[in-house]
Amino acid sequence: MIKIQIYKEFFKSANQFYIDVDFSLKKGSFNALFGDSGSGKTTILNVIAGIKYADRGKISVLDNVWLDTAAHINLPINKRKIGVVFQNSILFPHLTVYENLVFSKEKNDSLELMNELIQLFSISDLLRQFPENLSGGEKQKVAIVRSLIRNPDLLLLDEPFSAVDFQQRKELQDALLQVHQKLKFTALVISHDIEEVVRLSDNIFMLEKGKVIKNGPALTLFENKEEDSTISLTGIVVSVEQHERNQKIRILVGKEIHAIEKENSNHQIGDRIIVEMKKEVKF
Amino acid sequence: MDFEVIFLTLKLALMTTFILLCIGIPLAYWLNYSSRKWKVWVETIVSLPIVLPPTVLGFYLLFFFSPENWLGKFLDQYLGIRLVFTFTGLVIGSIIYSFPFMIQSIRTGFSQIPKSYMHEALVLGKSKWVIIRKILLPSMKNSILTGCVLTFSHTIGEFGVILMIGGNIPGETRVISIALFDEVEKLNYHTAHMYSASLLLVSFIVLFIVYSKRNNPFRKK
Repeated sequence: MIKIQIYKEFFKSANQFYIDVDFSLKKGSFNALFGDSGSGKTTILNVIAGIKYADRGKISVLDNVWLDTAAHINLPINKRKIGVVFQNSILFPHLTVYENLVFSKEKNDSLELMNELIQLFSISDLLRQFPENLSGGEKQKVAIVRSLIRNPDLLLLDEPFSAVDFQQRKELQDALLQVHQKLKFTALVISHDIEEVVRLSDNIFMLEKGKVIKNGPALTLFENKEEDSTISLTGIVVSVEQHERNQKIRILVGKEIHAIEKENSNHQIGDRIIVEMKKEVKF
Repeated sequence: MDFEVIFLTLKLALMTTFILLCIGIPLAYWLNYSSRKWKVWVETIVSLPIVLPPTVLGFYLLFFFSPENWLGKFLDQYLGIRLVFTFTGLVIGSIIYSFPFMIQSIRTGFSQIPKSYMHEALVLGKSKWVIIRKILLPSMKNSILTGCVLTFSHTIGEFGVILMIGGNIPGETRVISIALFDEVEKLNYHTAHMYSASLLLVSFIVLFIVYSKRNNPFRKK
């Protein structure tokens, strides 16, 4: 079991913001921290990894305490048996892919695991390449393999596929799930992409303004929510027609233009407004 | 032309460069990554030789290293080291004089490496020493090379400090720049030309190496 308690206050754009979370991850589970931008996902990941400090908190991973502010324990980053895949992971540019992989391997780490991961992620053709010759998806693949070579107690993934195109993203997600089924490592992916979260994880923590508001499998989190069947989207006013007291406004939402009528409104072209829309479910 | 002068000059430049490289890497690393308030004092002291006339630096070194003074007396009496008018003194003077050229170059190298390199390597469980050795230093080869070349060429061409602390003792402190000055005073322009041309040639070659390496960063591919 991995237990995470974090309390942290900080200022963001002159506003005080705080994170107050307390959650547990089952060993071998694939979890997701899901929330909008600015909800505190990355900060939580950085505190777990040891990159940022917490004001108060305790993180215990299996039998090891990584952080306990009350006992003044804060294990350095490099002493935490962790794997982190960042949004744009950095492969060291002066090393080949193979050298990058070997760099992360400790003397005691199994070479078999490394070779297995190379096969599972199909990167054997890339081993002699330098990172600058790889595509974004290939770089992320190598970064995932590199972080798993150490057989970490916890794998953290920070929006790992957001910079990858749709097709590659699906391939990478499949490969990651396949490896997870085989190796059964504990993982925590943070993302604001609901599709990715549902696809990858078996337990989702929904984060809002620095707090976990609910958690559970996707099915229990999102079912029976007919009353929430509208979605808020930001649109840009592209035309305004005045009809006595009403305004007929055409709004660009995504790549579509929608028309609405509003009473006593005073919108102008170029205004940014929030539109409530019915969710459309496609199968 | 006295080849002993050239040998002594090269020996001085090589020793200064090597010692400064050993001191420069940890100091530049500390200057780049430390957030200590008193770092500014170290930065100022390290950079002083850039703005200070070499004769001023040489004068103070002569003053402190003199056996008349407490430091020189201590070194002479207890450690048997005499720094005034000796080759050892020249090396120490050159190290102090060329300090900023090595430190600033290496520090620039460290500062150009994104902090994310350090984070990536740390989460891979590596110690700072391994990260410096295997990631940071190989990523800043050009800056290290620049520091070495600038220190080497700067030492070869130094005059004021050497004249003050080392004088003009053949085989001990008589380096090219001093020999050149000596030959001009004797109106021996032919030999002076030889010394000048060799200094010019060495300076050109080292700068050429720096710029060609900058344009073609050496990477194993």
